[in-house]
Amino acid sequence: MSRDRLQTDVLIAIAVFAGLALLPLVAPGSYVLGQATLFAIWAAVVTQWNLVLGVAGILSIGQMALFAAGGYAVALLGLYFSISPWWSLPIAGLAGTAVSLLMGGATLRLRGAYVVVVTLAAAMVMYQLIVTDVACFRKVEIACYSLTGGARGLSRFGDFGFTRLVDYKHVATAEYMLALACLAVGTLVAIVIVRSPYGRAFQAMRDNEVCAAARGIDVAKYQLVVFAVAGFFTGLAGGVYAGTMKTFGPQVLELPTLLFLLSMMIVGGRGRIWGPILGTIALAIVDESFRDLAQWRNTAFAVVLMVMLVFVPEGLAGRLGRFSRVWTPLVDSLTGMRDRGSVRS
Amino acid sequence: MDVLRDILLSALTLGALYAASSVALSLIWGSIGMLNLAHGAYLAVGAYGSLLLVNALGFPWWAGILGGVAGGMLMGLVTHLFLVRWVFAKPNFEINIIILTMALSTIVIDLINNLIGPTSARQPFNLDGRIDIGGSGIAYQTLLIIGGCAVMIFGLQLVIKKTELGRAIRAVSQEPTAARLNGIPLQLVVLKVMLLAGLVAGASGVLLTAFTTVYPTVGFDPLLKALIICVVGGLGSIPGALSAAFLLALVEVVVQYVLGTKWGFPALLVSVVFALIIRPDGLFGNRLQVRN
Repeated sequence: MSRDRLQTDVLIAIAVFAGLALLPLVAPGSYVLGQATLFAIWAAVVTQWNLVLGVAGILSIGQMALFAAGGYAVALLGLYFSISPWWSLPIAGLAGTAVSLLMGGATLRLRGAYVVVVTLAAAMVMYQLIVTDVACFRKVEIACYSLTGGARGLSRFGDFGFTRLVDYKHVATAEYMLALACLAVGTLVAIVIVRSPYGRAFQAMRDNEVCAAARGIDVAKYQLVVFAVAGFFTGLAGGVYAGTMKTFGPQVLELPTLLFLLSMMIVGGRGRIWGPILGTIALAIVDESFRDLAQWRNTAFAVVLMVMLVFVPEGLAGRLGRFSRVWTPLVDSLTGMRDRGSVRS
Repeated sequence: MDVLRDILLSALTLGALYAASSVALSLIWGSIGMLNLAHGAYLAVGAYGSLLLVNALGFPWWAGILGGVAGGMLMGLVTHLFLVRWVFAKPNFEINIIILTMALSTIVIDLINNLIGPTSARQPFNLDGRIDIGGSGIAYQTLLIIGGCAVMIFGLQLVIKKTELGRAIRAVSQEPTAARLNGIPLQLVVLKVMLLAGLVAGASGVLLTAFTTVYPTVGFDPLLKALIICVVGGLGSIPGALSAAFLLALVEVVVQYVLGTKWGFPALLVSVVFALIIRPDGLFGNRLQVRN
């Protein structure tokens, strides 16, 4: 049963990502591809966050700290040691894992709202340390730069070098492919985890922690495992972001970014394999329609988030699942787990 | 000796600020189990309410606090009508309301930014001057905040312990379903809690911003500190929040004196994590009984 569902999910994933990979043929403009690259990276982050919050039910909202750890790893290594992002990507993943394990360890004994507060505060500490970092670390002519770049962030730390590898006309395509690959690997790992005994354990922890522990599930071990996995791939996404956007700053740790990603997860559907991708597509559409009203962009995300959470708490993926049960079991597996429970509180 | 006195006085001032920030947050958590991440927006709207009344409508400076109270209560009403009443006592309330109030706070900040403007203004409701104690001193504003906190906390305890409403609030906080079965109008009680918390938060917003200026995101820093304080004190325990406010203020001031200003907040977080490792439900919190 589980093996069948795993195979179906993986096949669907391959089909979906093959379809997404054809985007450059349909819309070769660099603006569209740039946006698509960005949203693929966000989807990769939300997929991992979904694993922690939606599947395992741990209310961590400090996920952007892992992303920042990965991004800063690539940026700092590129800036001070001239290491190409290709080589520093694994280090970005490890940096994400390290921060994630610290966070997971600190919240091991905490529950519910206590986890929310500690994870949020951890991300904010990181933000404040970076923004208040003004000590002179290196001098370029008369200008003085701090170690982390402070509030301005870092730039000119090198990129993936696609201008040398491929024709400059195809740089946008190559970057999109890289971001998509990052998303695809993260999603496949998430699928395998959710369908493995680990996934069962996570869901058991989410639905009833006491019973899970009574059935012999080592809650602490599984919490650290899910944090480590999510940390690695979130850090990786941060590294890809730094390498493709060629700049990285503390803005990713600010609240609007957090709310934006949270909207993606809620709109798509918490705890569903395909929720993050559906949510990202939906939010990309909202984002595009508010291009001329940039000052109301965050309000738009917030309103969409509220309406979905109140009226469609199962998200787009859950809604799709409800339709599919009527006509085909194939699409049903496409929308992820059916047996959802309450988030652990 | 001078250093010690300065540290204690700074800690007293900071502790008063922290206490003022966290009362309303603790009240909402304690009575309906809701972590209000829009608390920062409540504080900001309260501060702007005072600006509106005094600067734009020409009322005397002390009327500012009334503007703050009105602003905070408006926020409480909006939160209840649009968010809380839809998700209260339903599955996943705890996490859903956290997400919803986070979204609400974004909307409020956007509204202030786009309609009033991102510039900062001076809070009209404040007292100048200070009591001199051999070189350093206590600002009158600090005393005003401590007094204001005392009034709010005393008033709240009176309401919760002695009145009919307080009894209903305690019943709802213990077991919403049982409270409803005993004829308590659940939504009405929740609305009253939100209004009460809005009142307190709005007044705190006015008191707090006398030390800074008023700008759209002015509530964010107090929110973060209030969250930490309430967690250390034990979510929902107002006496716990009070003790935690002065305790953490002392820790922060000492660390800032020894290591430098920027390490104050990181040190706060580290001490919170350690406090929680030893007591996962806060210093004064009780282990919540969850039925399976």
